[in-house]
Amino acid sequence: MTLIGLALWRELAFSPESRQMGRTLEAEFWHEASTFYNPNLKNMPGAYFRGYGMDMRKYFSIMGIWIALAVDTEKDAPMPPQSGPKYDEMSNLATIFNLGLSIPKADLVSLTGETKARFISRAVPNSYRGDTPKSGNCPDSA
Amino acid sequence: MGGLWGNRRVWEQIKTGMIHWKMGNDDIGWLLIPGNGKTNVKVSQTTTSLYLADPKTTRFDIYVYAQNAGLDAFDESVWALPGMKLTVNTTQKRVSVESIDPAIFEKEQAVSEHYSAITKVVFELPTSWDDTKPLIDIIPKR
Repeated sequence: MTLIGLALWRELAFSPESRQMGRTLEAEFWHEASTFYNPNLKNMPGAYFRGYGMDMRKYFSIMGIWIALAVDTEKDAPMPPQSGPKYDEMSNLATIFNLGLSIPKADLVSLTGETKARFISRAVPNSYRGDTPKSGNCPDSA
Repeated sequence: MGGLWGNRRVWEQIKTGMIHWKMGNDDIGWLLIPGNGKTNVKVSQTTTSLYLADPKTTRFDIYVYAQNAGLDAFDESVWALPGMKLTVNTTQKRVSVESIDPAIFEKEQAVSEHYSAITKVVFELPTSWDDTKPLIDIIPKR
């Protein structure tokens, strides 16, 4: 869903500068997603935030739909072969097709390539300067 | 393997730890640590380790999907699952190993896809536990 928001930003923001910001953020998002994605398992290793399942090949996740469109082959698509749970997420297709994909070539390649053993660590700050967390999301938020 | 340390929101849509593997029959096996706030998860290149996050915790749960693995596959120190052997190092008391109703699991853990069987392993902690020491180490080996 974040990718759809970023694609809307990339295409529909008022100024060229703002559209470029959307493109930059979208490219960074794809880089992060493709870095963590395991094409051998056709799954993300987690941890998951707002994960609606454990196996992206067995239910329609929005991320799986984006990756399926990016790789454009059935065998590499991390989604059920036909219908399956959360099929209603396919309603995002119209928006995605209208906005189009904007994914860095190197990241696109890594969504289908051989997976080598990797160890990745990310430190995520509790808050960002200027950001306001939604009330109730964090124990210490206002 | 993937893990999250410092989850700030208790929510079934957050999965703080997991292991995925190929089971050899074109199916994916997995181990799930729920985002219930009880534990922190640390992953090294060889091991998934759980640590105490909430000092009020008296029990913690681990969920496993491994098709056709009977309960006898879950030995005290080795879980011999299809396609993966998990060595389990812990001094915690194992309270139960049970096959649970997949429908209840799917609802409680916000998992959309359907499974034929899910195994739940429950451990009990002593009244006080040093949160710098791992509650349990899980070491996968194919």
